[in-house]
Amino acid sequence: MTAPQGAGVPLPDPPSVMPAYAARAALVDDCCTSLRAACARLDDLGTFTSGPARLDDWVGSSGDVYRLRTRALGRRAEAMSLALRRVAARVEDHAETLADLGVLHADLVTRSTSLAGGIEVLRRDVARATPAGLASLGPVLHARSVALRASIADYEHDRRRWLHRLFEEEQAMVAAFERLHSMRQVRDRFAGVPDPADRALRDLPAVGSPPREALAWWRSLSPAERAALLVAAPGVLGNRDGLPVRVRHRANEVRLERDLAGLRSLRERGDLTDREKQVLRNAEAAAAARDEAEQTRDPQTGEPVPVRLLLYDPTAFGGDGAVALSVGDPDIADDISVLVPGLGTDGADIPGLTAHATSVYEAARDADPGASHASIAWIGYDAPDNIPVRDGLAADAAGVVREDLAERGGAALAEAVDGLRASREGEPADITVIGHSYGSTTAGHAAHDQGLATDDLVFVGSPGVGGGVDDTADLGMSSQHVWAAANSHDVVPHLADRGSIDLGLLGGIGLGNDPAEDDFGAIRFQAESGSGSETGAHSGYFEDGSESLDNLAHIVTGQYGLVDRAPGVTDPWWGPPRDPELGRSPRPGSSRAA
Amino acid sequence: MHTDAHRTTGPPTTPSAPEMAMVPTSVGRASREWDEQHVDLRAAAGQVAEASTAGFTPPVAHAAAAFLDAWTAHTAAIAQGCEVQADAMRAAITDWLDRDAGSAARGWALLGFVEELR
Repeated sequence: MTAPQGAGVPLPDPPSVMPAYAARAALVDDCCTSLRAACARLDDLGTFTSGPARLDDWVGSSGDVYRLRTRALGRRAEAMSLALRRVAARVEDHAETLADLGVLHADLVTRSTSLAGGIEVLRRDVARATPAGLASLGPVLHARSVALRASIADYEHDRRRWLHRLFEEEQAMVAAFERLHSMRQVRDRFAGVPDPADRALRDLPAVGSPPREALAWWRSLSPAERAALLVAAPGVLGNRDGLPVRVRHRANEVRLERDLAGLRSLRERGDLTDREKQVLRNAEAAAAARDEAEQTRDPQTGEPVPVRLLLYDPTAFGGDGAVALSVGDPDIADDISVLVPGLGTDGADIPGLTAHATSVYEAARDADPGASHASIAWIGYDAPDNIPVRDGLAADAAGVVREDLAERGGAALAEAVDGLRASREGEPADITVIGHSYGSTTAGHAAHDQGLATDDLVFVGSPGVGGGVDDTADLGMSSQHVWAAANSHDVVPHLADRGSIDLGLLGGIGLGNDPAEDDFGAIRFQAESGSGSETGAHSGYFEDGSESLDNLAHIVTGQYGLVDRAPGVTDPWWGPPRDPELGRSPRPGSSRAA
Repeated sequence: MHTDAHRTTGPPTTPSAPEMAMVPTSVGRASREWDEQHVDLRAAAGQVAEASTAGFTPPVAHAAAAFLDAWTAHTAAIAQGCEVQADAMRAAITDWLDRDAGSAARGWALLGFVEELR
């Protein structure tokens, strides 16, 4: 307490300054992922030595020596894996604690600054008061001084507690590092210890079982089993619909980092096979998309947006690769949008699709700042490789596109959405599936064949929504929740069936009805753009500032009244289809670029 | 696929001598897999070496760096163990080729396993 001031009003001592806080939880988390990726390699060696490496048919002393060495290496690898995953789990906890402490630190710094300011204001008020004024103001100033003192005491208490917690956490982390530093420590602690992942994997529900069964299985596991599986079976966890997205993200990060490290090392040696080159290309695309998305700041809060890698299999679909990235956290978001891409998309295209998902995320947050959002770039099916449209003409004969891939993709999409719903613990999210181009055919099949559990379904630049779908009723959805966007300059919707034309009957090359046609029953919304080219019009639906993106944002946030509707395409029997939107100038959008 | 055509026994067995037999092609294939393990684990060692300690607070960063150094060495050592295993298997095949009276055709078929690809 400083000496009493005028009228005996004492000024409190200034609060202690908070020390600088140098921890960066995200980087600590990255360290954890690197350790787990290395763990996964050790685990692979353990599996190899107990399986294909045994060579039981090599008999005699040489074979015996070989197996002796193999067993020794296997036991060493297993002990190392158990040890390293123990440390990795501790590092993960450390990262979470550091993040908590970071939040508390920022709060304490604010309080300290505020208290110091309060003392200064009190000092000025006391200094300014005249002797006469002090007579009446004295008790008020005194009360303020007492209140400030109490607040400073609270602050000092919290500050000490914060420092103590940081100190204890640091000690615990250092001890965890030092406990498993040498191979002797590793052997003493983990030699012969069974791997918790083994029992957990035995009870794993079969592939194809409902996502809720996968979730029930996950919830039945102990923390040790869960941590073990992240290392022993990242591919199983990462791509299993129904598991919490946070878990899938962690597992996929482990697998991604493992792939990158291994394949880049081979590339440096010039040792990559063609197949490995393709896998590396997919892995690097996933990493680039993730890194780019992690730069996103929420347009409302300015905070970094969580990014989740909820699907990663760079070898899927004959090497095309499967990958899905979410901008925003689907486990807790109020609204979720799922972007389903079309022709020619493979795993290496994830950066472009993620950019679209980011645009939808930002537009949705702008449209409804009160609701949280997650926008998923989903490449979870094998899209056709060939594009039947070149410069506006159906010119690529090899690219005849049929519906079989959309049918299979529709099943995968429906399961993915079921998985998103199953893994959430709180209120269900409002989900909107947005199918672009051939992705709309896939989404149509998901709804028609599989009962896609989406609240809204949007077809964008659709070449047809699949055979057997004449109108919205065939999708099993209310027409008030089925939407269609078709830029009048986009040539792809012209490939769809209109009026009495059924391309499905003409050699089976059609992809179904045009959802933007008036008798389909969907709500068409405005999606014109300034681009006069067909390819520009087809790829511009997610462009910042476009009327299409604005309308998508209003749909995914459930603000249906704000969607700018457009009249449907008509196709009179006496003439060609007519698009009332043709010639209309696009209105300036209100999304970010605008 | 292992077939009798690939199987060759070593010196004739006697009650006092241990049986000596190997399937050179399966040993050769396994040696390649050990090479893969070597390459993967060497990459893992590099990954541990490159793991960042920048996010830790200063009192922890020192322990973290020491831990990563130690584990880089542990992982590199087990990677080396895999390479030794692969080399030993190639040596076994070479011995077999040198000693075995098998046909030249079979010998040619196995020569690919004698060299280290990775």
